[in-house]
Amino acid sequence: MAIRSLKSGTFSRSGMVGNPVIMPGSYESIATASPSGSTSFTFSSIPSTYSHLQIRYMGVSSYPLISSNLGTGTKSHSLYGYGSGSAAYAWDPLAGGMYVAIDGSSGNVSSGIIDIFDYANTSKNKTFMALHGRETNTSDSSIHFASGFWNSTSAITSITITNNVAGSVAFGTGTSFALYGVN
Amino acid sequence: MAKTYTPITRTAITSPTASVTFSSIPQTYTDLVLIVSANGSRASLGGDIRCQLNSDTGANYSYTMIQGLGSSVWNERASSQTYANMANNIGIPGSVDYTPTMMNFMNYSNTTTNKTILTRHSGVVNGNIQARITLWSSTAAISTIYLWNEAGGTNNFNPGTTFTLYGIKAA
Repeated sequence: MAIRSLKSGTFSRSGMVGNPVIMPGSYESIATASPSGSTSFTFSSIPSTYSHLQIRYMGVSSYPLISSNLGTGTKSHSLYGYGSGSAAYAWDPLAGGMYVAIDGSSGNVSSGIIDIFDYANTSKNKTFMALHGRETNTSDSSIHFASGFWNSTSAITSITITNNVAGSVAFGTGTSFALYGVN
Repeated sequence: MAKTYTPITRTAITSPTASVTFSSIPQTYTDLVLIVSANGSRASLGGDIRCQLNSDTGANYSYTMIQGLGSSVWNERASSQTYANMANNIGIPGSVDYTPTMMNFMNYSNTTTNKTILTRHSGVVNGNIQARITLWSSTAAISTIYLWNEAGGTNNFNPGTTFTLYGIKAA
């Protein structure tokens, strides 16, 4: 464990030989991807040293799905609203992966945040929650909550994002994803 | 790995204040996160948090929102607004209720795409919970965030309201 100075607030290496330096409350950038022109990409060899993962992105162009080394997922849930009406909808989609958004973007007008909880814990099934929005200044806009789980206690070591269920639509120009680790 | 989620600045309201401005925002991060804990002066509902970016007063803001209030859930949207409405029904005056709002300004410093803001908010006193996507139709990098309590500055943010701005940088 790290040692924090009460006087200076700074952290120093553990006195135990071989222990990694762990900064409580840290949030670290792990990797980025710019998959424009591709239909999917993978964050692989994810370190197991964090408590949770967060993916932040912008500019997807279809209906992105999340899968991992644990497979395409076991169950997912969605709550969403379209700009074309006042009704809200719920859906439990599962098709080749779990949707993190049910509505894509025709340009760089969408963004989202995906949280993956206790991804390295080998005593729990793995879960995620996501918030995605697409705003076009027209009624063709949407806001979307999603969640899902893998019925597996294995650690997540890789995450794949596919742009749509058919895998036939490429991510649009300017699409970017960033993976972070949270302690 | 590079550590990030860095505090940039924090504003704590100590006397009734109509607006708050974050200017000269560093352009060295990927995303901004603004966390607001707010209480307002409007008698019954505290007020709404409104926003303009880079002093842009044009009709360049729009949003789509899903909201729960009591047992009801619905969505609503607005196009071509002259400001962005970010949160409804903040804490009411005379109370110690401060409502939470988290705004994510995605890829705020790039100069090739329009800007989106993902916001979660709960006016907990009135029982609402909101998630919102806001579009600022501009490719300019965000360098200034101007926030005010609705009604043209006739309402205030009350003492105890805080605004904390963080920067997140991708590797």
